[in-house]
Amino acid sequence: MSRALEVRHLSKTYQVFRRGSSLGEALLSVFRRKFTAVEAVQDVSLELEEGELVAFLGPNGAGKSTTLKMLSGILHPTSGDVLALGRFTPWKHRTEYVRHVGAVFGQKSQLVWDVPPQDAFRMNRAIHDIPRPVYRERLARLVALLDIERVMMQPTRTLSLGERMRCEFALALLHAPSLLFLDEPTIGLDIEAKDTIRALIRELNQAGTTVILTTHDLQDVEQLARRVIVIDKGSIALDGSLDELRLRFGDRKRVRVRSTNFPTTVEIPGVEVVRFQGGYAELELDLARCSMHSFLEQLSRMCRVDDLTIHDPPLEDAVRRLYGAASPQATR
Amino acid sequence: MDTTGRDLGGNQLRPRARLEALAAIAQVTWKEWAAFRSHMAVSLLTGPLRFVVMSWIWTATTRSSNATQGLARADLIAYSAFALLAGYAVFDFADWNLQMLVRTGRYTNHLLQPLPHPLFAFGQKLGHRALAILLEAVPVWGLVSWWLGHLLVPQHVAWFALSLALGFVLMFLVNYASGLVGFWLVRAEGVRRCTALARDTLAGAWLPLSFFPASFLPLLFLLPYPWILYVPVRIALGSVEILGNVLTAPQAVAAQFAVTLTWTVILTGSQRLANRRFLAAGG
Amino acid sequence: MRSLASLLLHGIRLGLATRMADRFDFFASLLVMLGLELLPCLITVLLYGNGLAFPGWQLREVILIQAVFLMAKGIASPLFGGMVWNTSEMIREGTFELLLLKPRHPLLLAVVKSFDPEDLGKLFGGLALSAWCLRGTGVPRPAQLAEFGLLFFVSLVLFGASLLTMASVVMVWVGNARIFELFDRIAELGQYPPVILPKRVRALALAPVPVLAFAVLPASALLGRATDGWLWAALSTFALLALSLTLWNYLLRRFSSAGG
Repeated sequence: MSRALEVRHLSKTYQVFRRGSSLGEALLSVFRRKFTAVEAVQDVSLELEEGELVAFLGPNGAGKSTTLKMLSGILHPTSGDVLALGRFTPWKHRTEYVRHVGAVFGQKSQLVWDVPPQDAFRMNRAIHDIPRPVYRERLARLVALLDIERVMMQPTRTLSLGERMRCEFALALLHAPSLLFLDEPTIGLDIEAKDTIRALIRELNQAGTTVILTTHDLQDVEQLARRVIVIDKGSIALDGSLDELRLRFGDRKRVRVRSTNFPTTVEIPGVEVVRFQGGYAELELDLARCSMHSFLEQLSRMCRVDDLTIHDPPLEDAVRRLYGAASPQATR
Repeated sequence: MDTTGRDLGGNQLRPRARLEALAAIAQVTWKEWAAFRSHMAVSLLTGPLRFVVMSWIWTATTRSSNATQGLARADLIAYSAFALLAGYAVFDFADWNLQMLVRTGRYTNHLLQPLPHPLFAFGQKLGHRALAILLEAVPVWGLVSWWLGHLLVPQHVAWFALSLALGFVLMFLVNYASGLVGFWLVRAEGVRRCTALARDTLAGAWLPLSFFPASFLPLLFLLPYPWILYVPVRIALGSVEILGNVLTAPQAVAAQFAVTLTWTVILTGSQRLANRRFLAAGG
Repeated sequence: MRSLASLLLHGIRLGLATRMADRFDFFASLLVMLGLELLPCLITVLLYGNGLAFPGWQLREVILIQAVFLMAKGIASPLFGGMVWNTSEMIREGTFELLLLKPRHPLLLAVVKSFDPEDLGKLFGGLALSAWCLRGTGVPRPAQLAEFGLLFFVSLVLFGASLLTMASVVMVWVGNARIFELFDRIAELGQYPPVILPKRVRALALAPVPVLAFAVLPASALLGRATDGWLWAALSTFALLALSLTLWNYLLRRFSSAGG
């Protein structure tokens, strides 16, 4: 398998304007501006194989978007190199490179507000210079896949968000890109629309498209990504599988216990009570400090267990801890 | 909330609190627009350029006859200068702002506030214009004076200031009322630009209104526009000529006050209708 | 070439379809865009109506200058004018970078995606006014028409270069609608007979700031008046075009290296 992206020591620093909030400062800002340098991305290195689906996670302002803009050729880095699809430096060979790249932004529409999506599709055909028969064949396939036959004739402004996102995908896929950048593609969608979009992403990835997904929706990550890259304060805080992310802060399990005589406090080392809810107690176990066997033994001495379920802690917990304790050390 | 459009939260603030709110809004607007100071600095080029073109036009066209409509070449040039400077003080985009709020649905936020939106918008204008006077009018005044070779000072300074203040309020009322069109039309930008063009022309921003056909003038002075700019500018020149009658500065200001009062009543009525329309249409 | 033509055609179609979404607003804007430009005509008519005149110029001759200005602007603005607004809006909304995700030159895309037919009102208005003026001043001879054709082309290039410069400026001067106002004020110098300009300014108005090329020179050709200095004006127009293209490309590079 060849590499879709090879990123070496990518960094980006830019200047931002600082303005005070008092009246005096505002008046002063009329005559003089102050700037500060922001290191948006610092020394990011990673590799991405063709056909991979990787999710970029990170708190707001962590440097995800800046990284993706550099990978897609929109932005020049301050330093570092990227080799894309084996032959392109995105910002140097932008025009050629983007012929192979598709992008969908949940919050930036590529459709035209007042006209039906079909007009924007045709425009995109002309921009990418796609031969008409190829365009017709691809459009027909996308229309069937995304179920947009009816909506693509209506003015974009009259579409629901879910319908619009399906059309955004159609537009981004018309030129059959091999590398797809998705920036929060499910933002604001209802459950059903999210499922449709996720199924589509999975299908595209299975057909060989390399997908880079940025999102704040951890359901997207759990359902789609095999690999997760967490960016925080401009650096890679973690690059690994979902399990690695979960194990980052120790091997933990969640246990839900139903018991009529459950004590109000639990004094087992390595066990924390997360909450009491609906007759259940939810506990979190740090398996390094308390084995499952020892826990179950102590639990059965402590109370009469009526029901018990064991599962992995939610991904949110691991991510929250990671954001809180970002380290610039990559694990991979 | 009262669905008839009456008392939409407007009576919840006492007069003193309203004044405080107005001052706070003006201050925030000042800060907000201070960031766009380079936008305002464009006036340092456009203003003097407009004035220079007009003064060249007056110089060229009055080469054979030095006076027209009772105004000598120097008066015509001074008219253009005062019209330009007064324009900075009264300038307004309440219409654009209101239409934007209605189109984007953000007008709802204002319906939920205890301060009526016209007052909010007026506070914005106060802040915006205070900044404009500092960044636009004062430097342009200096540049124009330098071009003329003497300090450009209005006659009857106090009456001129009072008249300009009334023009400031009247311009706001007229503009806000025209912005209300946005409650009935989806895209009212064309209509807005149309009225803005007519407003400036009929306010005498380009030429003294005495240049317009005599038969049109009686109708023109029934409209609010001449009272926004033409009247203060003529006070600055010495006296106000309206339909062949020469008014003193106090008489002109009194008439201007009556017009402003009438428009306050008109605006209040139309705003209630607009609110009712907004609530009926569900935002 | 065929692909380029097809792209331009799609741009025009999309521009028309977008504006047709609200016909009332479109037709109102068509009239307003014409109305806004008629201000110099209004001033001229009111001046002449009050017994004033530009020395050596009849009313219809002055209006012809303004009509030619309207025609040139009516052709250049629909093609390149929307680009200024669009660039400014895209930068503000953060969607300008989407242009960089397409395999075409962003300048071409900015033009194609910004076709705005509302300025066509100026073209129709200019044509009607020109016809009215020429009825009074006499039909131009073929040589005059040929000279007009050449100078009108220079005028179109000058409009294109000016609008391109403005589109460049809004890339760094985000959201500044007043850039048009600045242009209008400078161009206003070229909408009246050159007799209003002091001698030195008149020379500058041919080169390096060829405002007389907007309308005074082509209208003078139609009227059989002298068009002295037209070569200087044409040369500085093409120099401005080259400069504006360089500026656009430079600012694009700056945009993509500054942080979006």
